[in-house]
Amino acid sequence: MRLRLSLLWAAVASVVGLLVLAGFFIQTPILIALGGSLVGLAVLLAGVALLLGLYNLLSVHLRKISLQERGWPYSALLVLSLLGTLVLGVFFGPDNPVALVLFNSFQLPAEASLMALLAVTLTLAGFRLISRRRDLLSFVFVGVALLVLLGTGPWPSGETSDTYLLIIDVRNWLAQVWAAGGARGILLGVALGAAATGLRVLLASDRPYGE
Amino acid sequence: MTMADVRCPMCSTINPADATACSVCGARLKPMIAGEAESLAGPPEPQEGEAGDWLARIRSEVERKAETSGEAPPRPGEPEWLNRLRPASGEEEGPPEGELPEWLSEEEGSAAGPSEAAPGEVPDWLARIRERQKTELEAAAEEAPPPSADDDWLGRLRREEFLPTEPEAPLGEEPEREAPPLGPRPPSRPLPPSSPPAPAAAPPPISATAPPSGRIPPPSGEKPAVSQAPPFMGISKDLLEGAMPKWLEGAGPSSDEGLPHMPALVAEEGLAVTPESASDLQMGSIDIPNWLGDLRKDAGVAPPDAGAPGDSLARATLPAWLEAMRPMDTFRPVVEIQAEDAQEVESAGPLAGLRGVLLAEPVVAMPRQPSYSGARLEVTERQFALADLIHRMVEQEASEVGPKPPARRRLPFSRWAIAGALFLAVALPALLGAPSLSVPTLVPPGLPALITLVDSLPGDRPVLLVFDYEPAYAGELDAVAGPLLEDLMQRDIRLATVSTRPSGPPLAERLIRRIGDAHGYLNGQDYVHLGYLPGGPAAVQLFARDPRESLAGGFLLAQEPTRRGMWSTPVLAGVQQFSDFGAVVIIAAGTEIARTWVEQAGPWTGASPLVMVASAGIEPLIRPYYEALNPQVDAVLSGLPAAVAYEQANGRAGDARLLWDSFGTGMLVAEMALILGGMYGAASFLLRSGTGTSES
Repeated sequence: MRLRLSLLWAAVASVVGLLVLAGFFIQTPILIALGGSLVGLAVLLAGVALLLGLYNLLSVHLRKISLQERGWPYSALLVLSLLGTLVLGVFFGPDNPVALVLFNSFQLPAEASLMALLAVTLTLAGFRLISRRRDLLSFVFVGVALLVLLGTGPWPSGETSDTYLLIIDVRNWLAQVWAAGGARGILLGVALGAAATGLRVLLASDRPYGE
Repeated sequence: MTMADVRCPMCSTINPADATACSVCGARLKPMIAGEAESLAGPPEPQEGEAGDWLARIRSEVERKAETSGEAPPRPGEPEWLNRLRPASGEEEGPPEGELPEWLSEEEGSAAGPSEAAPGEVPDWLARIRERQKTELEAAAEEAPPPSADDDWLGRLRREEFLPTEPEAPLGEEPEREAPPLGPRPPSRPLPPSSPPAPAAAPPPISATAPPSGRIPPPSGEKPAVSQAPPFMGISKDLLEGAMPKWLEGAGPSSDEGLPHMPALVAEEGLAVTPESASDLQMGSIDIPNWLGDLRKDAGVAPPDAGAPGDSLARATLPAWLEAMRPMDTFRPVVEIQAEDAQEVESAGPLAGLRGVLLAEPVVAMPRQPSYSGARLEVTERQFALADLIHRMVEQEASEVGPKPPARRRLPFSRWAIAGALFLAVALPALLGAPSLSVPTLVPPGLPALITLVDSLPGDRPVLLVFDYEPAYAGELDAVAGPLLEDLMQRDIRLATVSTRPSGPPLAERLIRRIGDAHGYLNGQDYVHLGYLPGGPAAVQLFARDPRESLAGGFLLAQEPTRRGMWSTPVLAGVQQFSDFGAVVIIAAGTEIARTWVEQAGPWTGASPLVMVASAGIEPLIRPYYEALNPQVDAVLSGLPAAVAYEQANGRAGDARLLWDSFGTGMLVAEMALILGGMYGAASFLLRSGTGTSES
């Protein structure tokens, strides 16, 4: 019985995948409509998964609060914020003025400040790296970062000097040759991996939906 | 052959008496030791005068005795032993001299032995011998008492068993037996294979360890028939011929009403001994006659013990290492096989339809105890070392860790210095407006194409703006996307926003309102927020397939009645599908979401351009989609320098220019930090190397 169910799930996954894939290559109204319906079901399942994730987050932090575990006040704050924004979104909509005020007053500055701290942290990490770990890779890493920073930011002395032009050329060479080459390799690897994974799912060799 | 001839000891050839060597094989006939030949030929005849007086006296006594007994005196020239044999046989016992029968004279020529002589051909001497033997037998039969029931025939049998085996007598001269042999014959004299099986009613063989339990009647006065079988068979002729002796007729199956049940001492092959039959084997429950009980006592058979034989045995004590090697009994040692009626009918294979066929599962599939010692643990030195290491690690984990000494409090000078320098570098230009850095004069490579693309956008079709970034990237991406939005608004191009992130619509509203106020853009008339698009890549594909079906909510719509009918607003008029948008501008901060839009929505854009406004960090991953023979991205705007250059190209100073000085000073501080760090590291390395050189 278990084997039959596994075969059924594999057949469903393969047929659905083949239909959606065929919709990309064969532009027929039936395939397009069928593919759209199947993708709509996937979106619906993604929404349900979001609700499940919300339930899991709430249960975990409620448990921490009930057991008075370490850091439970933060869990309580999270639960209160979650319930508050949930009530605002459900009953007043996501675009109510209170929700926008909360977003512009809390979420946006907080996340921007964390990103600003990231700039400080990266600068300090570069300083420590070059001052304490003196090996070839560290020098290469920090040297490339310095060249890109010099070629990206403005110069107090102006942008007419030959040194600045040279550094600009070096920066463009690094960004468009080395960085773009590495990015192409990453994208090709991602594409090949996605194709292989898709084929494995279509052929039921890989069953992420379970046995 | 005469008495004087000599037989060769090697080849048995008859040679003349005077020959010293064999005429055939050449072996020496006379030993080289003097006197030995004479001893072999016979006792030497003492010469006259050589014998002592004692010998003369002996001879005279012998002659005198012979004369008194009527025997002939010893003939001269014959050995003494031959003369002693002669009187034992007598003249009547043997044939007269010179009257040897023909069969005896033909002994050397005939290997079959003497033939049976006819009655008329029996010589007189042999007839006299037979007559005398017959007379003696009749006399003995008359003198012997008649055999009775209390005759100790079994005792004789026992004595005969324990007596040494007599040499085999020739056929016809076997001594008569009074009872058939009941005991087993010695193993060195097995029954010939041609012997017929014993009768069913015949008593089992009696042995010392297994006394018979049945009532074997003692022999009556009638003796068993004399067997003519050879004695090694031990079975009478009647038994061999299948006939039952008379004294055993009472024990036959026709008259066994009074006989007890005789259980089989040894179970037949293939038959299990049932408990009922096993109980029969208890000798105490069998009626044994007195005479047989005495016999068992004599044989020293101990009565069976009441308890099990294994109860009195002490359990073996295995050493610890041997006990540890004992395989665990995790498998069923015995495979249960159902009765034939309960077994299923074979449904497949050549034995289909048969019941009770041999199962393959007990041999192949069903678990059973392995026959080999699989639990034997072989530990190499390396494995033992690793196990010891793990053991010590676990012990260290369990042990209490002592308190660490308080670390010396050090002021994180470098951290605070760098953070303070960065803060001042970013804040001073924004607060004081100084220092003022020069704007970039070099145009990024993709900027002219973007400006040309925006200039060519149709004014009657809305542009879709995808706000897919988190609020953390709002400081950078708002400044980068600002010049493009201002350029679009300057051309009065209607805008529609969408986002796959919940924070996207508020960010879009915030940016469009800040820039659009200067251009008089109004929500619902000049721009509209399609809202949040949940579902990730699948939702992007679905939206690209059919925008109207995938989004129906909207965000911050001006009029409530139009919430469900946002697609009927003037902003989205004429948009039926994804390619109806004048352009698709993707504002993204991450590579994944940028790739998702390019790959999922790119095929549905049609002739509409796809513009990527991205953070400087993901530019290298966007460029492959842009710098290609068949580009999927038509224009790229990334980083603050490109945005400043865009503003410079448009001739308007925007958010990018306001941030440019702070951005420039902050970059300078970061560059200085890296340069100082390199100098500090080089100096410390040189100092340490110099100190090490001086010490060495």
